[in-house]
Amino acid sequence: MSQLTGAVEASTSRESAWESGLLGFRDLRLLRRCMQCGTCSGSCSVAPLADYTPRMIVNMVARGDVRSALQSKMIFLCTNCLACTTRCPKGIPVADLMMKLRNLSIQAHLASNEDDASSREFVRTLLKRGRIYEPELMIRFAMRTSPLSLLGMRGQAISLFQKGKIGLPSKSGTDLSDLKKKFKEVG
Amino acid sequence: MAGSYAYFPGCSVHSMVLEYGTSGKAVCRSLGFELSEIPDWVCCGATPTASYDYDIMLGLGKKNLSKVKAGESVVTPCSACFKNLKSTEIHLKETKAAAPKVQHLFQMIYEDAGMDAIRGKVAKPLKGLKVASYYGCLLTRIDPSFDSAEDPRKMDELVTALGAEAVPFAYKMKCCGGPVVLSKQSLAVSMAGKILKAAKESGADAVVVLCPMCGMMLDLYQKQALKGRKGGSIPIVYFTQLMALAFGLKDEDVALDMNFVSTKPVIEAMAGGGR
Repeated sequence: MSQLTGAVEASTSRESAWESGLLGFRDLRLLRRCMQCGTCSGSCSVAPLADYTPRMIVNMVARGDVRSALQSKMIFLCTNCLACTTRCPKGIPVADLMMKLRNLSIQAHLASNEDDASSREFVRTLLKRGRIYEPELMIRFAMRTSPLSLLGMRGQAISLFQKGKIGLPSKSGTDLSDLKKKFKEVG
Repeated sequence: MAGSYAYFPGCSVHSMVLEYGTSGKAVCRSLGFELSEIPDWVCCGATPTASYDYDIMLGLGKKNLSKVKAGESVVTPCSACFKNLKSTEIHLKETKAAAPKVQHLFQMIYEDAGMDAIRGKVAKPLKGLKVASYYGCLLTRIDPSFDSAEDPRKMDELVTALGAEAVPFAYKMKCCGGPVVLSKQSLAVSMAGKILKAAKESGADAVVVLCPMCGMMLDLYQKQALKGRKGGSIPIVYFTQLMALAFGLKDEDVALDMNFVSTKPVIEAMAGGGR
């Protein structure tokens, strides 16, 4: 936790980077329309588990407090089910905002190890062959988080194996060098 | 109704949900649709890629859509692939670039085949079978012009046309938890558990789904999700499996032995014990 706080407090230059990153979020001006009705939070399956609800995240970002939003558990609890976006009476794309905040949080290395690993190792696995090979993804994720968690997945692994659903990895011939470069740049 | 489409299978119909891919292709053949797989398609990126960097997700989408022949529509059986490919289509059109139309497999069958053609194909009506239609988040929220994002009914229409009964199901749009199953497994499993509990209470013999992610959460994780709850399991079937069953297609096309939770109750529920 202290490491996280340290990273947040580190530099004002990073903070301005978040802001310029958010300026790339095309709907930023829409956030100011928010009247704090809470329909997004009421529709959210995971808000009860979060420190800040979607309504509070929108408010924080609209008021310029991006740093609190980036530290919130909410942005990675979000399943991107789009219930909030669909129901917002002001047309604010709340779920897209969560995604944008995740991108910034990963770039700024503020995401928790689990949240970072689940997205980074997915993209890494994907870019290797152009397709996802689930066993490899599971192993990469477990090695970065808790290798013992692989034991907890044995039930699923046995079921998949019994049904003949774990085969050899499939590969796409499409050139992904530009996206691999981008992956490195995001860092 | 017949036509040719660029098919984007997505990673999971080649592994975790073989039964969806097999039954979907068989049903399309039977309805006169010609699906040609996009050559060298790449993974759509699902949710984690958009979480990591939205532009990488769009980059993957553009690579896939650029391989589609002019005038052809893209069809995919997976709601997560549908979300990303549809978002790419919308993005390209907003920047005045050419983009093919992206459809979900259910949407294609509903809109381009139509209920009359489907009714005409039914050889063995699914009489006596009660199902809870589970739409999942993405299909109608990405494209609300297709069906209501609050109370969609088009899957109910389909199963009714097949001779089954659609029970009222309040959890039809509730998130299955799939996108967070890697990072927050116990949360995802508890979300699936709530849907399964509601489905069992609805009196349905089975839940019908249209997305491999939803299928994985409700089927592969069902044992874990229903742990400590009363009662037995409930079969999870893809809409294409019910179609193949009602059309009287071969057993290997219906592929009811490939689902994780036993699908026997589906056959048993049908009047006369099914086939």
